[in-house]
Amino acid sequence: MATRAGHDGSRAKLEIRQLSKTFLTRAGFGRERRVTALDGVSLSIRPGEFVTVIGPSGCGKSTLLMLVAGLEHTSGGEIVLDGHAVSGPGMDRGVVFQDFALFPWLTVAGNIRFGLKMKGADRYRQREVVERLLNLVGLSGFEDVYPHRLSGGMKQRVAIARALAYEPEVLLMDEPFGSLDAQTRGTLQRQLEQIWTATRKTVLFVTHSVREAVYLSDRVVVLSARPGRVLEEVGMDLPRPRDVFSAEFSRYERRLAERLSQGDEGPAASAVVFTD
Amino acid sequence: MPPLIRETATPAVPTVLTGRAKSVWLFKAALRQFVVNALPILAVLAAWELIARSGLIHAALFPSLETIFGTMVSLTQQGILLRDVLGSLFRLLVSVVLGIALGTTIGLFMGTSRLAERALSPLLSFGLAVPGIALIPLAILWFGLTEQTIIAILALEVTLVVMLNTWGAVKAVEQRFINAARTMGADGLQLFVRVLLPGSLPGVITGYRLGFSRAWRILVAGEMLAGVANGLGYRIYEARQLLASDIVYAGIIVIGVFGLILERVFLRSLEAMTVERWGLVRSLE
Repeated sequence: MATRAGHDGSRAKLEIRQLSKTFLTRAGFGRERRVTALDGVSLSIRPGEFVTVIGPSGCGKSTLLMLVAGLEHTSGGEIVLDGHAVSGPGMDRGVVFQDFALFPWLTVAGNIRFGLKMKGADRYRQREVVERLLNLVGLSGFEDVYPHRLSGGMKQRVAIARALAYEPEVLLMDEPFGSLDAQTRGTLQRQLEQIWTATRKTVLFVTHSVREAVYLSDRVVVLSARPGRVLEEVGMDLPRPRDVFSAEFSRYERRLAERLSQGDEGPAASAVVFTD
Repeated sequence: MPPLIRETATPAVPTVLTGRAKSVWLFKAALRQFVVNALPILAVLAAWELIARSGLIHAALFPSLETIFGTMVSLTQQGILLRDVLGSLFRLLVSVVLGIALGTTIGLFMGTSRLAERALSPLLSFGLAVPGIALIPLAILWFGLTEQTIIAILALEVTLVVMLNTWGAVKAVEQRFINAARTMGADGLQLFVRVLLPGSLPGVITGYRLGFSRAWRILVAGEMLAGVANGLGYRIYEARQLLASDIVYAGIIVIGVFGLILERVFLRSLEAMTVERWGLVRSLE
């Protein structure tokens, strides 16, 4: 019933220690504005665990993901994946973006092949992986279609297949269903859970939807408003697949929603400092 | 399942039609397309003929279509037209190829290297501020009344326009594509070849189009001023001195028609094969 796999003291897959991020932006007249997005965030993710980060908008949850992806530089703290410090983007992490970011000049198969090509996989292997993943995300037969012909939900399924294709150690998902309509979103959540159950990838997921977090995660991390700090970590002790109408589900939802609204009144104002 | 294929400008053949009925449907569709394309041109021609025949404007200034096309036929028979067309096309081709090669290379360099961008952008702005035609006297001093004069001016113009557009196009490649590629291990040359190059193609093609049309315009002016003994620009300039308005008009029509054909055949098909197929631009008719 419980999905606290690997809690028996086994080594963390992904370890985030005292992570901070401060952005320096120009505010005109030669002044610089210093915005602290994350302030000492620590988080440990076990192998095969599905961890979701939620928080009020602007709390730095997407920044956290981009830091782990290596697309932004950290201002303090460190990120350790499989015992190695992360210092830039790498193929040990697969990223699914909110706006899909599929390459419009490549077909569905071309997009999924991208990472494999970078890894130097041979053609036979590429074809085999494309076939298997399209099957996994339910898009067999769409190999030669260009992304602009796909609906939003289909695009995101291709993006998930693309990130899984080169077998990263960790899957990072940045509000992947945020731009989809409610119905498509529900379908994709169910599909993602099936995919996760089949692959048992370690997932770090970011969303602003409490329901999505409770539905998908083993553990939910609540961040405060800017600067983002960890307010609480809640383990979801619910059997899968989860029934969103069950009483336990609602209890978790309420608990997280309450915590989230407390976090909203965080020390946001003091985080903005003007310097000359 | 959501609709997979978006509605396109050309309606698909109804699936109920087969065999002969399908051929008839296709023929009718093609006919409709042709009429839509040809109608405005026919209207202009009809209005022209009406004015020419009405005698309102002197025939030397406003010759009838019959005279103009008659002149075209006789120029063709004498081999003059062919020589002019070939002369102009040769100059155009050499300079456009040179300009595209140079402009694309430098533009890509500027788009990917901060240093190149800083070093070259003032020069580019300066070059773009000087009209190509203004350089013709200078080029004549350098190269004399020769082919090189025209080709140098044209190639420079194409280079500058292509440079500007290519540079801008590389800078306009969306960060999300670059980020996605970087997370999948693309860096340096791979990032350039697999993302920046295809991602900038729409803007690069626009640059080719602009460069080409600029070159075509300056070519005609250059042939007038540089006094080479053939070319469409030379022909209409010379005809003006001889008060042969029919040759001037014939020359203008040939220039327009060739410009249209070159644009449609080369640049349009390049677009159709790439950016249209990828859905980056809506299809043009």
